[in-house]
Amino acid sequence: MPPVTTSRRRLLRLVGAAGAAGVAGCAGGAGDSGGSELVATLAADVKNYDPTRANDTTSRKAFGLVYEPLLSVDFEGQARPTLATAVEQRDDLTWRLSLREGVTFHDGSDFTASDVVATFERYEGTPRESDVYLWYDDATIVDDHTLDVTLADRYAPFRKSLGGVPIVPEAAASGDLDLSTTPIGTGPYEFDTHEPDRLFRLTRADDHWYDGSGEVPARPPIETLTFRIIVEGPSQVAALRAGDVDLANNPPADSVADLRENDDVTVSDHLAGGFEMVVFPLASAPFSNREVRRGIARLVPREEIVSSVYGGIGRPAYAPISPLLDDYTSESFQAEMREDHQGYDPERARELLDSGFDALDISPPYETSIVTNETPERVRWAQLVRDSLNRTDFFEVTIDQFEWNTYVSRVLAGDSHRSDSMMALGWTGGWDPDTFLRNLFYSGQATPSCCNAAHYANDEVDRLLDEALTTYDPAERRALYEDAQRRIVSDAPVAFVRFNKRLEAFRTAEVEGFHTYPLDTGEFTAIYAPWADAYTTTGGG
Amino acid sequence: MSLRRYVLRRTLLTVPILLGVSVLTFGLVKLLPGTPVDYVLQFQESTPELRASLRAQYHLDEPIYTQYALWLWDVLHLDFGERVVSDRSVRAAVAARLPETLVLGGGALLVALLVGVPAGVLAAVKRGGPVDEASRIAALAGIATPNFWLGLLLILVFGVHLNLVPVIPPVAPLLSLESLAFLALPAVTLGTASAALFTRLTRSAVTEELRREYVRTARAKGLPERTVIVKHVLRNSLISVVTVAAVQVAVLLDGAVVIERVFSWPGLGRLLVRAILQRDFPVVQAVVLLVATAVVVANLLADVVYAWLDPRIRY
Repeated sequence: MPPVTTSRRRLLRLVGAAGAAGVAGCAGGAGDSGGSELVATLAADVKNYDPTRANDTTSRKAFGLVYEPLLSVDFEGQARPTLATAVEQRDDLTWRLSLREGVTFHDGSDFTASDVVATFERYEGTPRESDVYLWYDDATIVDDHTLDVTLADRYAPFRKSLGGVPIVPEAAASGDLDLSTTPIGTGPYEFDTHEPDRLFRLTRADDHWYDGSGEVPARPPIETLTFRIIVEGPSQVAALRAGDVDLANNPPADSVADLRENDDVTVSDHLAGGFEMVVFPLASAPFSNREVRRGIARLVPREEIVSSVYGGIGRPAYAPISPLLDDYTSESFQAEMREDHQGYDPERARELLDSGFDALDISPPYETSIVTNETPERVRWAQLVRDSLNRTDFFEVTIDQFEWNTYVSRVLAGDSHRSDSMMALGWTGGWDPDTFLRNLFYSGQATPSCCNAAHYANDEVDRLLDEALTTYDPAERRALYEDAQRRIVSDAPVAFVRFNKRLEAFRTAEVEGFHTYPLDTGEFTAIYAPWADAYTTTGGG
Repeated sequence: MSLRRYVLRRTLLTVPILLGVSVLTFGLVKLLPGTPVDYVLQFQESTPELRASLRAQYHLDEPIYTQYALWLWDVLHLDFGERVVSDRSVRAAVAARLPETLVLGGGALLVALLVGVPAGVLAAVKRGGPVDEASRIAALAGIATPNFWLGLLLILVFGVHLNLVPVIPPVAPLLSLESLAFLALPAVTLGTASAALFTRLTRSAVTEELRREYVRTARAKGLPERTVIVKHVLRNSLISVVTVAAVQVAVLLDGAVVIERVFSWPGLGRLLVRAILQRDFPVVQAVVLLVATAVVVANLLADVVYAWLDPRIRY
């Protein structure tokens, strides 16, 4: 049972002291834990606790503190030892994993090499199969705490990919344990309750393996972690302002200005690993013409979009790899892409469109639309792109808005490249540059296999991406990815719009030490992440 | 026709209606673009084999009438299948949220009746005066106000600025004082439009009743005005209010969809909306069927009560 909450105190004020005894009688439970509680929001319900099945970010966010991977990726993108103490390359395809000893799962069973193998192999045939089978071929157990993993091919992001595979007990693979009702991991928090659409609660695990250091206490200071499920943005903000929740995860962009003026609340933003873009259907004219696409890319008012739609939060995007991965991209590279290919320039756009329409023998204006889902910000930036295109004599653009699933079934349909509409799309990558490129621009990833909705196919880009994926030397990789990006940006199968930022808003007096993890699904990492020297306390101390 | 025969005939009539509702429910859900497979895979790499096995799992390759027959057979056994988004049973998901929606809807209906009926009586008795005028304006405002806006306004005023009530549901049993106190705002929000309707309805029914002979007789006999209104006029006027209250069941369930989102209340409305968005077909079908059944049954009850009160309508 949670400690007395602010709402309880408020209710006492409402019913007066006379009613207090009655309240305590019916609302009390099995005695208060007395520990500290952090109340955070989730904008959707948690759907699934099984890592091989959960395909929504909310679920992965919620169980991020329950399960642990072998290596975790810290706030700067460095892989850090977690359940593995060392990951060493033995030859091109074999990696030796040394596992941490003395670790137990929340059900009391010991963590050993067989749990790791079972975790990997239960991904086969599940919706999230590619999390593991992109690289995994086989594993050999050396002893209880050592195993050798054999890769299907050289795979540069191997270490970081391990960060996306939460380790579960072997019993989950043999069917003796159902993770979809009982999530069991080794993490600092264990699953407590889930009341659908109401709350998801974790409690501090008693025997987490971490022994403490000068930096981080041996146990998480926060005892109970309660996620309240609040779907409506305005209701989230109201709950934060009223003090019913301590931390709002990703509050709506249009409320940030108001929250910043609130003395009780701290708002901060962090660069995140995603971007927004306009995707062109390459098989239909006029989008089949490179000059037309480049012309449209020159008409996307990125600065205006960032300032008016997102309240100045985010950055204009001119190439796919997020600035978050500063080993693989840079300000100067973005500037070069802006100058040479995609920067806003109506004059240059007119020349390009003129010659493109001439070559196709199409007489403008061309009637088309931009397909988008109902995310308010996305609709608004699509409208700005529409207005910018309609200011020219070349287009008459309208907006086609669809609810999520209809939208997904359109943009990911096998014939998405033959549609006569442009598509407003967002993409979230990970800590490796491949995640920003392969799914969107590799020929083999054309819809419906994955997410290359434009059906962009360029042999040289395919070759560069494959080579970069199997190149272990960072400097060589960077050169390969720059080359690939240059080709993609100049071909303009998509027009890049904005690099996202993550927002967080919390009550200053109640939350200390929290900072948002840059990637989707990891936002609550800072609650307690000894491997990244991060932890959060409540009550400002 | 005896009352018993009338009730029997009226009940039998609901069978083809419910069957029609089941066909419509099933068919409309199938007309939605996109399939559960799209939802399960979303923006992930997939192979043709994986897609085919998912299609088979949801019987998407069977002919539509086979799918309907399979579904109806299970429904008749109260088996609504498993959810698309998780491995849990649809029946459990619906059962978990039904009490929440019933309490919210019941609260809203209570608010509507407790506010609407007295206001309507008052307006009828003080016909043409300022009270009547004020109730008319309030009723118009109540019908015209969008309920999500009203909900957010109440949250801002009572939850954030006055800090009197929590903004999100307390962690407490459904029938605890804490939960019921929290429910005041959503119930008021949801009940406002219905209260306005009851006000106007009661006013016209009472006005009509006041013109009848028996009222003049009662007054001539020297009965106090309060007795005349409460014991005689109101009882006769409420017949039509009861009928409309039955129809309001559908209206309240409809409104609950929005209100549950605004107040983060874990009811059927939210389950339904999300199930539609995720193409969680089994859930959509179960909830729509449940709501349709509730409306049909409420109407049946209203007809029966009416027939019992007024034998002239048993045709």
